[in-house]
Amino acid sequence: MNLNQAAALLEMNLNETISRFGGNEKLFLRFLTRLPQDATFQQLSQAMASEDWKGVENSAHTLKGVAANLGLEQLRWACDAMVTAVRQERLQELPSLYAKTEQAFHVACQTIQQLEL
Amino acid sequence: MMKSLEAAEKRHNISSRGANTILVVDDMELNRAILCEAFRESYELLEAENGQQALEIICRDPGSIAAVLLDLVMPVMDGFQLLEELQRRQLLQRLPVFIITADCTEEKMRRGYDMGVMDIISKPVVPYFVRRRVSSVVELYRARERLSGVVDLQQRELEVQAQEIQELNRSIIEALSTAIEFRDCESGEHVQRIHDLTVQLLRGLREGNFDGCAFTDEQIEQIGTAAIMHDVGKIAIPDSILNKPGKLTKEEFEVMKTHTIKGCELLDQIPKSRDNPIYQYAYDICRHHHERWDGRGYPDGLQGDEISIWAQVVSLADVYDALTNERCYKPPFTKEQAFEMIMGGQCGTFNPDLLKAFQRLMGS
Repeated sequence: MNLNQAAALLEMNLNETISRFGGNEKLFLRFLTRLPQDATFQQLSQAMASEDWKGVENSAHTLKGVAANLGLEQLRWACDAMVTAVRQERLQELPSLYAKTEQAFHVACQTIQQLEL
Repeated sequence: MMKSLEAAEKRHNISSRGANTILVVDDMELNRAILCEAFRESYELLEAENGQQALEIICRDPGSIAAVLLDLVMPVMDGFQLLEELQRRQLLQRLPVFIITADCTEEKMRRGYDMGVMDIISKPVVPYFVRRRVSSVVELYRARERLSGVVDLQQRELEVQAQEIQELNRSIIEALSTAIEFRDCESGEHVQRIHDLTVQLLRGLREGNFDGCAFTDEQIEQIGTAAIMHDVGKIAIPDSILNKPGKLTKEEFEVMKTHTIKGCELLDQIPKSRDNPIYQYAYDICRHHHERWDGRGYPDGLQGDEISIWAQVVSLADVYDALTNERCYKPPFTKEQAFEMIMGGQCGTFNPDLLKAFQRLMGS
């Protein structure tokens, strides 16, 4: 899979995203391909498991920022919904919102791993 | 404005290179990389992973940081904690901080602005916009910094010039007064002695806490300079009277007495002299340095406190100096003789407070 195909699959605005890296495609790819090793999602999962809502808020917030920068819109908005839910104390919604986040994270990681650079 | 600023800097030989480092504070390497990329071309960059690291970097050399790009949610020390630390160290006034956050809620934005941040930019950033917003503020701060440097220097220059003008003023007064004294077969030293004696007597009166004698050092120096001009009116007195070796006739003495009025008329013709404290003192001293405490002096026959204390002081200084130096009509008396003559009332009556100050001065 090339980058354009991956971008289409992930609903990524590729031009806009690369321009965020000063038009430096290599720099963008370096960070994109590091996403599967990023610890933030793991922190989010652990916080969910231990019902550490402050931890959920912080790690979802951080992951949201990373996703936004990488142009991963699905993941970005899934994280955003979790942050909002914690802040508005709609804790009962968190499991299903987390499921969506997990789904988006896995899709992104799988797609990235299939990239042929 | 920038052009004249550059010219001023050139004149004063100041470097216009201000701070040129942007400090990027974010716990995520990705976020830092994007911001660094946006500024790499025009700025030096420093990175910190949390508020604590950022604080250490800033405190090491606050003057080198042009702007701080600050994430809010970070481990160890978060963005708001860093802002509090900067506020406490009074660094926020001169250091523009931009909050870069994915969390632009009204509450957070209000809190940030209230703490003194320059601007709040939402993540994900658009490099072009963030560059424009940050750069224009950095330019503004640099211009402000440079401007205040130039203003400081100009202020110092003005002070030096004011000092020079005062010194010039004083030497012109001295030169003119000395020229007049020369006609009176005096050496130029009379002028300096009158200045010094006046200043010493005024200080003595101040130390004695006499009424109306709480002069400042500046006032004493102004009166001392004014005292030099006490006899400028003698320029209008004919040589035959001014330099007559023997006693003056009654008519000649009447002419001689006019040097007081002539002197202050002369000073009155100097433009703007009325606004200048030295000339205000000088006018009064010229006119009244021959008045006496008992009202038997001239030209106005004032008595007691009607005569200003500075005119009285110069009057005493003038009498003492005339006694202790040779004149074309008399040899010099010794200091002791002169002192006795003044205290004994042989030279007219003086203010008792003034005589106390004089006595203390002569005793020392």
